Amino acid sequence: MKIIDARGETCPVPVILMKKALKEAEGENIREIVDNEISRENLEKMLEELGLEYTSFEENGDFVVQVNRSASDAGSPPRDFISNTVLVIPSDSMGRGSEDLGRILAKNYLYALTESDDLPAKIILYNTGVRLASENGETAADLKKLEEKGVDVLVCGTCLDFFGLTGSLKAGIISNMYAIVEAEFSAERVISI
Amino acid sequence: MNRIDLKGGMGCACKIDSVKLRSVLEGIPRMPDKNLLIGYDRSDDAAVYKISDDIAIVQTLDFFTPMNEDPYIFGQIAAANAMSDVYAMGGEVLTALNIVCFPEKEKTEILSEILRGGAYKVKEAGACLAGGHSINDTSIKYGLSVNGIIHPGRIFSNAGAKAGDSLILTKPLGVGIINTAGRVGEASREAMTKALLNMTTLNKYAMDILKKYEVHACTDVTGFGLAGHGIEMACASGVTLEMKAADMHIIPEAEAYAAGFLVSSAGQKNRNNYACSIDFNVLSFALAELLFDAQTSGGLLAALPEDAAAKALEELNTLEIRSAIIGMVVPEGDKAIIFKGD
Repeated sequence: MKIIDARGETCPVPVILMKKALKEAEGENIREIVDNEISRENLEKMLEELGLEYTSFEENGDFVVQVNRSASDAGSPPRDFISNTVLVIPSDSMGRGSEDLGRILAKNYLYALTESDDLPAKIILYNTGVRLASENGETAADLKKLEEKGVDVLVCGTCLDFFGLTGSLKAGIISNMYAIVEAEFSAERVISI
Repeated sequence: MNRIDLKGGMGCACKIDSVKLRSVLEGIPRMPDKNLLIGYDRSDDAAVYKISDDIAIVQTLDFFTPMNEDPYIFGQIAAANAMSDVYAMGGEVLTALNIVCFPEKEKTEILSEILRGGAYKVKEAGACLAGGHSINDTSIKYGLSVNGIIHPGRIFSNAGAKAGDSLILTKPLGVGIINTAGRVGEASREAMTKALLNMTTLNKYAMDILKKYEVHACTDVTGFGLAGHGIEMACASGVTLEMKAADMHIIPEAEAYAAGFLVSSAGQKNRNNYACSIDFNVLSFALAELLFDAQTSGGLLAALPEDAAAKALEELNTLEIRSAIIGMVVPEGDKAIIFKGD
């Protein structure tokens, strides 16, 4: 993930920085922080014109625009092959009872999903679920595989912050509650494990 | 040369958001006066006050932050832009006063050059520079307070465009985008030269020609872009302006820069405010940017009957800057401006 801090800059500078990054950091996800809404709108306008997938959200009074290229670039199956299902993972431990067993089950579940022909359109991770995309290397690798197959992996930014894991995100894109609400309510089916 | 350090909003691009401004002005009491022919209750260019049956005074002022690092050029542009409002109404400029904000730490040579540029344009307009006022400020700002006269029966307001009229634009669009590109060193010398000619040319010459014809409505296209000033004309006249993508009157380099995403804040603000009143689906990304581009010292947008417009255009095109017919006026529809494909 390439990070651009364009706070203190006015247009066209933030847009030019993103344009440059898109060219130089080939295929990489890019996260740009700007301090005003007009710059955010100009960034979104360019990304829409370029047909790139992005998420944008407000964070501590600044605005973050994140281009998600590793999932949308080469190798993704056409969207029609993925049913409009959202998979919600609120914990790094699957089911109730033993926490340790739950962690093994979560790992096995994600592995099974990578082997499955039926994939969700999106996976949403929150609370301790975010550990699966960061601390836990094995599950993060499976989530990465799912991303490569075209699944959007949305990771709750507040949760990463809470656990101090923002810097160790290995799969998915940092997202917020607005995006999560939108994803869940526009889904035909929401599965929670 | 003493150069101006450019930062922040530039030229007409530093206008306050028009929607915000309107809500602020709603709280200011109206002062009706039978002789105030045009006041700020209409989105028109200047105030017009009748003092006799033959003479009304036209008052306007305009000042902004530098958009060019050459102070002499900046002075010329600011003056041409300030006087433009009088020309847009069909008036003559008589006197002008300097408005100056200048930081103490800056070299006074810069200020001398700015004022010299402004004076040069006032002289070219055939008017007198009669004084001014200056204060210390954190950033440079310059402009003029302008007084002119007009015949009360021959005021070109932005209301009065009629279905069937042709729309003439007397300067190509794109100086905002070229200035934006210039700020990050991406504008060619040719593009900058074209933009400077556009910004320093007085609208007096185009108006001197337009005056000979039956003009139904006229305004100058400045900070709110063709979009904003076009909508103002359409709403004041109760009509819709119909334009064609292929007839957009633009500086070609600006289209290329817009396609390369050299976009400004001012243009995006205009898009936020005006996009809902315009059907511009047929426009490419770059042409849409030009529609919303803030013009510093832009040209006149005039509505004339078709025949008159054709003749006026021929005469206007003897001037250094080319004019163009960019569309026509149609009966009021859902949108203030609509763009048609080719």
